[in-house]
Amino acid sequence: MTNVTGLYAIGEADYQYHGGNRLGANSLLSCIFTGLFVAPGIRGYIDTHAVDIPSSLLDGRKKAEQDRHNELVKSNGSENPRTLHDELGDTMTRNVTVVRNNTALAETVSKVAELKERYKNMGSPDGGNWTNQSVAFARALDDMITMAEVIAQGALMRDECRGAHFKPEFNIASPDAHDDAGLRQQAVEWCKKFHAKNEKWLKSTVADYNGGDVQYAYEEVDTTLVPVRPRTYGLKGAEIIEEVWQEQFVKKTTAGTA
Amino acid sequence: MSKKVKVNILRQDSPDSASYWQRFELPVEHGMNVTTILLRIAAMRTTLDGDKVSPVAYDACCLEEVCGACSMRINGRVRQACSALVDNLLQEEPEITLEPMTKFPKVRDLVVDRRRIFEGLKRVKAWAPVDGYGSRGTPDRMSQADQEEAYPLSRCMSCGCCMEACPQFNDRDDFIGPHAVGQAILFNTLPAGKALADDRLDALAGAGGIAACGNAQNCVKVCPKDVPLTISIAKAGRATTFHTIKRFLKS
Repeated sequence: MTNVTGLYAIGEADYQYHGGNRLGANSLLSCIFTGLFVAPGIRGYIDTHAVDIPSSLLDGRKKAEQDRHNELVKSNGSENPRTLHDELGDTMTRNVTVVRNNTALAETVSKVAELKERYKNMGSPDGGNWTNQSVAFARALDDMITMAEVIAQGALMRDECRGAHFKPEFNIASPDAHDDAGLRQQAVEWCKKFHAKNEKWLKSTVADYNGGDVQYAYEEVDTTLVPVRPRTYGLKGAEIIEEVWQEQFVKKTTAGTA
Repeated sequence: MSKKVKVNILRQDSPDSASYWQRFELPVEHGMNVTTILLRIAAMRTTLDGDKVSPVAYDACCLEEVCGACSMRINGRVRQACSALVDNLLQEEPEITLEPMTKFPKVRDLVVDRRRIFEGLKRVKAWAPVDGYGSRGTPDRMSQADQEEAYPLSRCMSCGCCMEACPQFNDRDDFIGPHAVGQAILFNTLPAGKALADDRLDALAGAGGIAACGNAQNCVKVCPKDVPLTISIAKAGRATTFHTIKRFLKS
């Protein structure tokens, strides 16, 4: 349960599956596991805590969901949800995985906007109410399109190269001098650029969506417990960069908390 | 022109309605499996006769043969749609035929109600009784020999193939199914599961237990994970015999 009573975060939305520790796509089993033990927990919560919730509180939401379902079952436009999904998956897999560049991201953003429009003209492939997998899929597709929009637009706005969100256009080139003095000089430049990047981009993207246009904002990252440091593996003169960073930049960035 | 494949699917709109065949034709893709065929049909929605039809209902989850959700009869043999590759299937037969499993109640098209698989596991208490948050200390170590016997059993994914192939598993009998026998033996071997060993042997010795097995050995033949099911059934026979004699002497 989250800190909002009665609101559960399950599977990949759970607190422990984030880019900080799960770049290896190894969270599938953990996600299934939380689903497995949270589901009975929710059932228990409903039975013990939610019994006295007046039905008037739930009726509105229930009706809204039922209306959405009915609308989807009866929809008779010309677009097939599976086809839209194939196109969405294709463009996202091509342009918004590890290596990203702004031209492709901009194309993706407009492609997703196109799919969002075409979704409105969707025709339900199945008019039945029994094991109608098409309608469940069409509902999920709606959310997938919104998520794709947020992921692609958020990535496009972020002009930096960081970790596994690799934007070659903004990569800070590794020092390449052949002598220590040259390397040291380049390391200072490298650290300056790294510092400037953090000043601008060491923040989380927050997307706010309430049915209309998505609003983007940024939230500072709390670095009081784990101070920022360069990730230097694969860089020439890695030790010198770390030395320079300690000498010239650590005091500056942690001055407020020291 | 790329190679095409004809696919025959046995469909059924609801649990009580009659089943009917539909025939589709679609281009073969590189590395295509049966699940991809069903996805393409959902996008295409047109039969070989040109009729516009609703997408075929089917179950699928992990797509890597570890969850067991997509079991169905493919060219007459029960197996997983995700690991059934079109190239291999076309070497068996010129066309592909998909039918739902026959031993479970039909839901729709290729979807069946697989609850009985789980009920079988519940009857033999196929779990380690470690509910709660308190530490129970380190469980006893297993010998290498026991580990090697337990591991193949732990590969069981409750997919239903062994039950589909078993002549004794049907709606006239209440056989727990070969998978449940295997899992009872697995949890009786695991140090964390031994506390319920007697309960499991009681269930295996009771109605619908191993006495219902006719030793056709189809289960082990169709098991996609090579679970040593017949070895488990033999072990269960021995263990329940001793267990029952012990019970008799104690009383």
